[in-house]
Amino acid sequence: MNHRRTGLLLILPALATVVLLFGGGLGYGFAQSLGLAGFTDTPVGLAAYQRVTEGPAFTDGLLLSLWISTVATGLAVAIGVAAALALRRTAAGRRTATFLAQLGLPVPHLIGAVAIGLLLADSGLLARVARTVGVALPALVADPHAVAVIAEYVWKEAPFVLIVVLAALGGPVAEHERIAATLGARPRQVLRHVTLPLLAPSILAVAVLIFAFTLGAYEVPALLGRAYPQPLPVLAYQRFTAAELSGRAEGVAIALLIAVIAVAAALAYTGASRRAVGRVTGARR
Amino acid sequence: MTEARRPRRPLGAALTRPTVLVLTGLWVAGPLLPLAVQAFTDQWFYPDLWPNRWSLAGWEQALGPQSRLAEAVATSIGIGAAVAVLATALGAAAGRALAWYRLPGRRLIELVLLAPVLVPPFAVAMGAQIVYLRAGLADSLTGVILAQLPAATAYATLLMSGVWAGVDPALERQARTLGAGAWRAFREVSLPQLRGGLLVAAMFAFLISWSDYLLTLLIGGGVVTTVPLLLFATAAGSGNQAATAAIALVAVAPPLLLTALAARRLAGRDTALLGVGR
Repeated sequence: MNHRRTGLLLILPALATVVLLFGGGLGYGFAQSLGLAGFTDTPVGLAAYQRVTEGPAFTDGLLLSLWISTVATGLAVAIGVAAALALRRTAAGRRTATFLAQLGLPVPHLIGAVAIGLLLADSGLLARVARTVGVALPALVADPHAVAVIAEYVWKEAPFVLIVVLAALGGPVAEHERIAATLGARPRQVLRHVTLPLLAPSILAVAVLIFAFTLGAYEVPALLGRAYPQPLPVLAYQRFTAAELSGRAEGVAIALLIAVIAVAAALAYTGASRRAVGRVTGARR
Repeated sequence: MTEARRPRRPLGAALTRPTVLVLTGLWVAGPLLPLAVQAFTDQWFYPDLWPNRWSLAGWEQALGPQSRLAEAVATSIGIGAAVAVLATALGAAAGRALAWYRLPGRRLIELVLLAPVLVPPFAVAMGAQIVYLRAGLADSLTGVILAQLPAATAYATLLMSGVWAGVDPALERQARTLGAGAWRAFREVSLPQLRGGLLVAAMFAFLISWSDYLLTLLIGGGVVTTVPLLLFATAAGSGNQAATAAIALVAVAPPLLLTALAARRLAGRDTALLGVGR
């Protein structure tokens, strides 16, 4: 049998699953958002997109979504990278930290949201401790800055960053650092001009994944957020399940707009990571 | 602690290694521990730091005749097992193709397989819901399994292509030269080397399914009640914190147990995928 054909036959079932069940749903959803298919009274065209984007609910929701995803991604990356750099020196530290972080990774976000809710609510454990020491806390759950939502994302994602960065530090990073140190670079200079740029592709990759995930996640803001403004996924679900028929097309339209932002972030990543590595190693990829 | 005084520390002496390790442990376990306390009390009034009465009322509610927790656990395990078996089989075949064979349009194939990582799956479920309704698959176990399958398959494929890359194709070729058929060469030469990777892939696929909330809600229509659906309904609707905490403990046990058992098999890269594949 032809070698190439065997490969295609092997990959076809998995590819078909993704293309039909995932791509099919996406394409059919796009058709619905344009009023071309499905149970809808939306006229053919961009009417659904126009309707969802014109009100303040969408603008406020988009800003809130971007705020949550940007702050959560930034904090998770900063904490994860700092912990990885502090733990990298010894094999035992790396192993223990990786094991601990591994345990947290598969905990579903919904459970994280329940746990963070119990911790940060007005009558939660943190508020009790704060009262005992005599500090008054502002509301942290369902507050205007989505503190609890961001806290849940940072709690879940910082260990993820830690694991990815620890794995990336195992590569040729140490050698480049040694060369820079031998050439007289101070520790701070090594960190800034060698270590961080070499880690940049891994860091940017996890950052994109976290950003894309938090932008499209529903459970955490649905449980810990406020009734208004709602981040885009919550808004999309609410429109989709609304009583009127046109809501379905509008819900899909919002969901697709989220997907477009996530994919744009991924494309920006590809360019940025190549430039960062090229600056240190001189490689042109 | 003497280590902390080494001159070349990247972050200065403020963060010593044992401190960071303790912080990592606290970070992971800290928010989950109050759940274990909350589940065993029915009187923990604000601003008490510790409950003043222990009780199993939360568990009685979570496990009692009114609740459908046992049924939800069975449903979740059934869906998870089906998704795990299907995704692992599809991923093992596709992983072999990606690692060993020359494929036309490889970049496009890889991009398609990455799509479920970047595009929020509920966008897909919203679009597909009508199709499931028309096909009679909405509100059914089969429908939920099909909805969860593509993302699980994508992750299993990415993971298995890494596992296959560590297996030497020459060994199967030698078995073929010695007269073994294609299937026998695979089963007796490569399969034993894949076993660990297959277990990890199945575990990931199971956990992706176990965590899912919105796809199950959209396609299962609330008829297919899994553990996350029950947990969300109790957390958002009941105000019963003890029962919520009890269900959350039941829901968090399998992921923690499976990961702890598999920890030795997990390389850094694999775990990274686990982080992506919630």
